Amino acid sequence: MKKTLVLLAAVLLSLPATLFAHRLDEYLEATILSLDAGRVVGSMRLVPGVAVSAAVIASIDTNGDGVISEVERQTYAQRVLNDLSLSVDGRPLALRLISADFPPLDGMKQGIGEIHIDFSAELFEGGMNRRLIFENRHKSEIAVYLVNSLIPNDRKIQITVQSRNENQSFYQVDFTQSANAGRTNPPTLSGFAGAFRLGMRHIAEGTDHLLFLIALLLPAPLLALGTRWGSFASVRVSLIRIVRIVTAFTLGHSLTLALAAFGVVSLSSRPVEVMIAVSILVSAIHAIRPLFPGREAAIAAFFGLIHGLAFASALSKLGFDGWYRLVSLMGFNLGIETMQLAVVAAILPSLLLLSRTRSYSALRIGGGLFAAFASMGWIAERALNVPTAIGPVVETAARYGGEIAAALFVISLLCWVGRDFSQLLPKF
Amino acid sequence: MKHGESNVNRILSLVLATGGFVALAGYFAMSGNTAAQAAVDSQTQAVVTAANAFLNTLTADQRQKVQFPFSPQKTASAAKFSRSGPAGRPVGTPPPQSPQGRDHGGPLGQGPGGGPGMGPPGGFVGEKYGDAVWSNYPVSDVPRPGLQIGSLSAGQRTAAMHLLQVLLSPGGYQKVLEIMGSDQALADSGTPFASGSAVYTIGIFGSPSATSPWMLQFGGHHLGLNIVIAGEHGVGTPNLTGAQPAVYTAGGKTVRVLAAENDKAFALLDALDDSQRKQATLNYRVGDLVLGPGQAGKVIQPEGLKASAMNDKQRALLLDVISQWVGIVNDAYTAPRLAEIKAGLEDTYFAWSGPATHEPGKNGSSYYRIQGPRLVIEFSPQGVGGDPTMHVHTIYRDPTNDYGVRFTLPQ
Repeated sequence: MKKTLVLLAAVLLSLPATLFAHRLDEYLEATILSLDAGRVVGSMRLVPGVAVSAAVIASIDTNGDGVISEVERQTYAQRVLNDLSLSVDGRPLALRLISADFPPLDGMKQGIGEIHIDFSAELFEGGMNRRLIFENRHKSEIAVYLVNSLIPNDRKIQITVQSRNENQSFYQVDFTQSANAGRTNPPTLSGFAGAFRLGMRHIAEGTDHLLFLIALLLPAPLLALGTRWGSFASVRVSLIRIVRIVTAFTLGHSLTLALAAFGVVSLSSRPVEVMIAVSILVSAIHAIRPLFPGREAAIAAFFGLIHGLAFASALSKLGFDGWYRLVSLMGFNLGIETMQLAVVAAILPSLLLLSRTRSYSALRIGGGLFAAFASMGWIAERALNVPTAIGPVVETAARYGGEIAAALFVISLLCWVGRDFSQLLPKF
Repeated sequence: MKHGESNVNRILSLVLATGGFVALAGYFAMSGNTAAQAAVDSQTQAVVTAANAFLNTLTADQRQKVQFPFSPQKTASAAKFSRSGPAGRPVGTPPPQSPQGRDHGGPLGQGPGGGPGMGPPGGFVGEKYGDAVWSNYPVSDVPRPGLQIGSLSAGQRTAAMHLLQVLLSPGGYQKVLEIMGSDQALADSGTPFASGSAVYTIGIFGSPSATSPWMLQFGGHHLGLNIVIAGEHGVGTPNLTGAQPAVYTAGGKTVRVLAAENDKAFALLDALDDSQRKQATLNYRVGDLVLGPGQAGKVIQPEGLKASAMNDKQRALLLDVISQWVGIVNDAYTAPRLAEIKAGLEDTYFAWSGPATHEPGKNGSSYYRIQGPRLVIEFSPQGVGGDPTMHVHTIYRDPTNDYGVRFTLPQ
């Protein structure tokens, strides 16, 4: 016994230090799975340690000629796949080799270089709650296993629970696979705060909602004179109107958002998106020539109902149920209102100042035309599938929203001061 | 319009104008943050100056070996080598200009190549971004593009180290020195492969500039520093640090490399209550980095304890652990990165595998991972037949901004 220990110590001491730099007596086998609607893809890295590389190489280079031939690559990769098992909902899946990539043999002897094997399997359709089991038995006497799943790209698939045995040779993934598709990846948000942030972001990035509101606010400080916009309606009247418009819009979209969030109403998103574009066009024309003077609030409430349906589709990406849905609905809605009020507050002083000067018609008509063109672009895109340049243009404008609002304010201030001066000077 | 109402209007307008001014000032204070901005700008300027100072010490021949084009790409690929001989390339031998085999994961049926007796070229050995290559393998096995420190004259070396000093925080620079010191200790113990501080390699990708993006790579056996400078931004991901031996003696002083990275994680674990610790602890062994070299851009399903289930003190400890990686670059680049990580902290996970204690004066043998919306950190003691507390690999990534793609390739 003692003799054996001494011998072992002697062997260990005589090993070159290089061994300590790399894997020694282990065979690292790391797998990353990615789940998609119709298939599972596995990506494996296999790294034999120096002390076991000879054995691993022998099982790859079976004829021992020092070269890994095409046949030997295929054969070994297939052997690895045979040592794996992948099942979903208790049904085994057939693994198909995608690629196998080997380092040069002398690299492997030094314990560097990794074998990469990629495989895939068809994923049959199933229910909502599913379970995947992956097992790796390849060279279990020397293996160090690692296994993980990527966060699925497909929004419909959500991993709920992962479990493994102690050496990771057994890996179980519970996931849900729902039928309704989403447009983008879900933000990893939860609860009220997350929904609040999502709501704020939805408005900040949802330029179409903002454009509708701004276009509707443009003529708010003015009195309609028949078919034309006339003079300034006094600050108090303007403020009251603006508050009424914003409140009406809020009531409208809150109502449909709540109804849609609880599944009372549902509309496919395309008609909703088109209607939103139409609502911008209507309010843009109204900014240029009065269409419904004095009834802006009613119009805001009506189109608010439609915008609410679009908000609901954004909220549905959070996918909460029951109480959480209520909490996230409130957070989301408050986030929307907060962002909306911030935007109104940012442009309100400019509107009021500038509306007392002759330059206001330039802003009103210019803004109205911009909104009209943007909405027509969106209508073409959304209803007729005609690609237009309007998306990037509006996105760019929105990115400099803060700067634009600031510039507008400075211009408004200059115009207003100039106007007051000309009025005040003769008095003194 | 009545005279009275006009006055009311004038007063209201004045109030609005004042309010607008305040809003405007607030807007610029928030988005401009001019003082901090100036600090960042001057930081980049200092880095550019130091980089040019280093380049100016070099001969034309050396410059050719240290400078490479910088061509931002969406993600990194696998570096492969068809090796031309046994390991142990003599120290100081210039590495090949660029590694062979540009493409990723050659499918089966690709024609074989390489020299006789070597099999087809291939086999992943590192992560490649344009001409830049880093790895956790020794420099002799996986040559890094650029100039080795050992090949530089004393003045050139000083200029190179000064560049690192300007680019990194004092703590980050110290960490780099300790990692090199550890590798030197390994070399002094006698290795048939190239190790030691002399083989650490510096490469500059693109021209140092305060406006257009470029990259600096510095690395060796247990270090892969990739720093992309894009105007005021300085991005330090991906970053590989490691140590073997993790504890060494130099000049009569005992140094424990990555000690804070180890100890602060244990401090966080200790601060958790029983149910939190249960949630954080994985029931399985993790034998290696999951997202090491070559795994760029992958986002795995997170596990462990979510920071939203931590109290303020625990969250502060978590941030403290994270800061050990984030803060390797200088403060001007660290601050915005930390702010970004703080913003996503609620959705950040802490996962642990291994013993809950470590011997004083030694690193632990436990693996941990921190994963957030813009962050992956792994600390992986390497068993590999030796003492795992003496050998560690770590990785720090930003799956949304490795190599600064968010600034070099904006959507």
